[in-house]
Formats: sequence, structure tokens, C-alpha cells
Amino acid sequence: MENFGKYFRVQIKRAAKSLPAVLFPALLLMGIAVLLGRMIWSISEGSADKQKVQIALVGDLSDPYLKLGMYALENLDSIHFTVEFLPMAEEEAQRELDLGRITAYARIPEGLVESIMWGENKKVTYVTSGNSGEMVSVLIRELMETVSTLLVESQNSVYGMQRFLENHGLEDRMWEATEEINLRYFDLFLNRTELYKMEFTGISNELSLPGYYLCAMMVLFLMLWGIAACPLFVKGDLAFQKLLRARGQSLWAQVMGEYAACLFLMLASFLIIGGILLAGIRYLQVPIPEWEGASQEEQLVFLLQAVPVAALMAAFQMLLFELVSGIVSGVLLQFISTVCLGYVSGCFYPVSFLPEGMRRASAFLPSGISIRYLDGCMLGNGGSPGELLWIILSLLLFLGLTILVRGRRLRAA
Amino acid sequence: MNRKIEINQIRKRFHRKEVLREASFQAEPGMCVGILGGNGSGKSTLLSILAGVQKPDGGEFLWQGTDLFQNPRLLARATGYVPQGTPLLEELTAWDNLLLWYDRAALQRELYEGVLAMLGIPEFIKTRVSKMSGGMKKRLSIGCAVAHSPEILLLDEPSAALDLICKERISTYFRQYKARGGILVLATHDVQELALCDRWYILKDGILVPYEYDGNVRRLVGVL
Repeated sequence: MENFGKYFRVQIKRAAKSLPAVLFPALLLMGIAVLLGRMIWSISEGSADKQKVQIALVGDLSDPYLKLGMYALENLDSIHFTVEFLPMAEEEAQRELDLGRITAYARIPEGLVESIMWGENKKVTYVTSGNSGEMVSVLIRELMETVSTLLVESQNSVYGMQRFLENHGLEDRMWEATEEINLRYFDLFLNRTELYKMEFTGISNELSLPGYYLCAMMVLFLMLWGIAACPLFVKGDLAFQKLLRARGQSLWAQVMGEYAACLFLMLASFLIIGGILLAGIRYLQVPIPEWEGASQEEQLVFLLQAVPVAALMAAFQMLLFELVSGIVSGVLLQFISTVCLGYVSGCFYPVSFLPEGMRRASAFLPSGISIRYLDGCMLGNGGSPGELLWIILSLLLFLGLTILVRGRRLRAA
Repeated sequence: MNRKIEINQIRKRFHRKEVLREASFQAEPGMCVGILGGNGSGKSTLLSILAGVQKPDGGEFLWQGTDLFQNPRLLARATGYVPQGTPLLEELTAWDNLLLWYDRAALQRELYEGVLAMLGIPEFIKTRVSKMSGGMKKRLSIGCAVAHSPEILLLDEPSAALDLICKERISTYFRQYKARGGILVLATHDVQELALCDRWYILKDGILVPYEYDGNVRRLVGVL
């Protein structure tokens, strides 16, 4: 058979006939993954709403100014969304801290406000469980220090102002000026969120966590797809390939014909399941910040932008199929390579969480390249030309290796 | 034009192992050559070299005055090859598999009154390969291999694990193929196929040695 087109058509027909068999397990896996993801999401979402940092206040809370300050923090300031102050006795606070029900407690010394008014700095003691690595504890400690510094520094400036007024014979304006400067500090403290700007570097490429995991999940799906396709593409005795070779079909034509079928089948599965996934994300209202306000068409464009990744993965799968001669070993190889590559490339944990060496290695792995390219597509950059070039080069490398392995196997058979 | 084949001093080495040291034989049109030998003796390697699947380290395959090893296109046209195993696409029907090798019109014709009809393929033309018996698969494999009407047919243990009826059907086809002037080269262990052959060679230690088979299987086993 000299006609490549004929072989190509037969392979496509074969792939089309096998589509339901390949699609069904993939669809089942994807459905379970989406439902599981949604369940975990709703649990974590619910608990995040309920979860406030609870700080107990022990000691002398009788001062009306302290009560006013706490009232302001708990009701006027944005801190009331994240921190809850609970007055209690020190023994009770210690017990609650030991049980992990509160994050910390602050010991307010007797006559704190009065001491501040007289320029004597009594210290508020912050007691935590000693787990200094805990992020929340660190943040709360910082907050307490900030508040203390703010109080002490502002008080110093109030005294400085009062001395200035006394020295210049302006005692009649003392009350009015003190009230004004206090109000200004109070205002400054309550509006402190406007004093800084927060920038989120994101998980990878400035992507949000859900956005990143959607990309990672797509790459993982494309890798796992190989397991479902094993019975179709793993060659046992190479008898058919021998016959093709005997009839003049070059190794290149053989591999390209099979690659076309593999890609066709992978794309069909990917687009069908991807479409269902997108519909599921919309229906279940899974919050993906990058897609806020995005239309369905824009999301479909994202799916289509993943075609080069599917092409790369199909070439990679072809190489894996070529390396084994039985379905069991094929499934095992697919599974192990998916787990290893998925781990190193950040499909399970974001790649920024991994050691430097792994991060560098992932840049050269098909899964790593794919995730980076999809990240760019999700951010609306359409994937950088450099990454696209990497994908094309890797794809050609995998196809070249497949041809070499096929030749070697036929020679050895 | 000389239509006989001449195989001269074919050599093949895999790493350190010399599988074929000197394989030479001749066959005239209408003749069947049986290649005998123990497992791993190199029979399949010899056939796959003759079919163009593997390249020899040395030697020639002369047909019509041309060394077919130097002319792969002609080699592919002149030979038909049925390897061990199932050279078929399991997910497709017999019809789909045959369409890979035949034009639609030629396929219809062959199924009606040609070689495919002779092999009994119309009986299972719409059956998926994965649902076929071993005999059906083998007949279909032969049907695929002879689509381009080759003058030399190379078969690697064609009757292995087939029932008697199927063997007889395939043997009948081989006799007709010979009668039409085709050359058959069989790698075989099967007594029925040995009886079909006109010349026998034993492949031992990489060397092809002529053997006179007289129906005495015990003597043959002694030589192997």
C-alpha cells in the first residue's frame, strides 16, 4: 500500500469507531472529579465564612476608652470580618488556647489607658500557643504591635503638641487641639486599609488557584486519557506494522497515520468533556477569577487554544504506546508517567510550591510546558510564541523518537 | 524474463548473535519451498528480510534479473507477506480491513469470484476482526497479503493453531496459487503444509541446508 491517505482514513475510521469506548471511562472519571471538586470547594467555602480568628482579651477591660476602642474595632473597622474579640478570665483563655479554640489572648494590664494618658507605657502581653510558624499568629502579633506603636507614638505627639501650646501661651486652645489630633489619628487608624495596596502574585503566572488548577486538570486529563486509549494504540506483536512495511509503507507514514488517529480521538474526547466541564463550571458557579464576566464564547476559545497542548500530549502518548508491547504494561506506564510528570510539573501542588530543581525540570517536561502555555491562555495572552515553539519542538521530538523506536522494534521482531 | 527466485548468501546479525550466516535457495514458478527449523532458529527473520521488513547485512534476492533488496518498490510489488500473529485492525470489520489494500471495485470483484471468494471471506465480511475465530483471521490476513497479486508469497507459520477444516481450506488455496505459477515460501512446522512443499530446507545455526522430506516426521525431528 503506497497510499498514505488511505491509511490515514482507515485510522480515523478506527478512531471514530472506538470513540465511545474511550470517551465513556474518561467522562466517568471527569464527572467524578468535578463533583468531588465542587464538594471540597463548598466545604472549604462554608468553613471559610465561619472561620474568624478568635482572640481572647483578659485583664482590666473596665476603662470606658478601651471599651470604645474595642467597639470601634469590632463594629466600624474592617477587622471585624476576620477577628473576633472575646472577653474572658485568664484561666479560661489559657484553657481555650490549649484546646485550640482561640488563636491567642491579649493580657490588658490594669489602668492601661490611664497609664498611656500619663505617658507611662504599660505593655499589652500577647499570648499564643507557641507555634510561631503559624501564619495567622504571626499576622495577629504584627497587628498588635502596630496598634501598640500607633497608640504610643500618637500619644507622644499629643504630649508634644500640648507642651508646644503651653510654651506659646495657647492653653485656651488645648482641649480643642487635643480633640482634633485624636480624631485625626483615629481616622487614620480606621482608614489604614487605604494606606497600602495589596498585590497578589498568584500561584503561577499571576493565576488564581482555581484558574491554575483548571489548567493543571486539563493537562492531567490529557495525560490520563492515554490509559483509556491503551487498547487501541498499544501494539502486541507488530504483525500489522510488519505487513505495512512489507507493502512499502514507510515508518514515517505509519506513525503519522496513527498519530492523526490518536490526535483526532484525543481532541474529540477533550472537546466533548471540556464542553461538559465548562457547562458544569457555569452551572455550579465555580468561581474562577480569570473568567469573571467572561462569555461562553471566550471560554470556548480557551478550549480551542488548548489544541497545541493536545497535539503535544498525543505525540507523547504515541511514544509511550510504542515503548510497550502489552496492554497491562501500557496502562502501568501511562499511569506512572502521569503521576510522576503530573507531580513534578505541578498538577497536584502548584509548581511554585516545589523545590527549585523540580521547577527547572518541569520547564522541559511536556506536562510543564503544557501547563505554562495554558496559564498564558487563561490569562488572555493566548500563550506566548516562545512556549508555542517549545510545544512544536517537543512534539516533533516525540514523533521522531516514536519513529526510531518503531524501526528498532520492527528490526528486533 | 526469468521469473524464478534466487536467494544468495543472506546474512543477518543481532548485536553479537549471528542469526543468519548463509541462507541461499532457489525456487521456480509454481513451486513451494518449506523452511524448517527449531524455535528461534531464524525462520521468521529470514522471511521478514525477504519481505523487506528488515534489512540484511549481506546477500541478494534475485527475481527477473533484479536484486529486489536494491529495489524496495519492486520488492513490495513482487512479494506478499503473511507474518505471524494478526496483521489486522481488530476494531474494524473484514470489509474495512480489506479496503485498506484493495480498491472498492476490485474488492467487490474478488469477493464475488476471485481469491477472496476462494478463501471464503464473504461469509464473515461484516464481522469485526475482534470477534473472528483464528481461522477467519488467518484467511483474512492472506486475503490482505495477496491484494496486489504478488508472484511470491511469504508465509510465516500460516496454519499454526488452526482447525483441520481451516487448514484444508488454506491448503487448497495454496495449491491453486502454485498452479497459477506463484512461488510460495513457507516457514512451517505443520505436516500438512510440509506435504504441500516441493523443496525443503532446514535452518540450523544460521545456515540453510537442503533436506529431502519423505513423510517421515521422526527422522525430521532427529535432524532438527
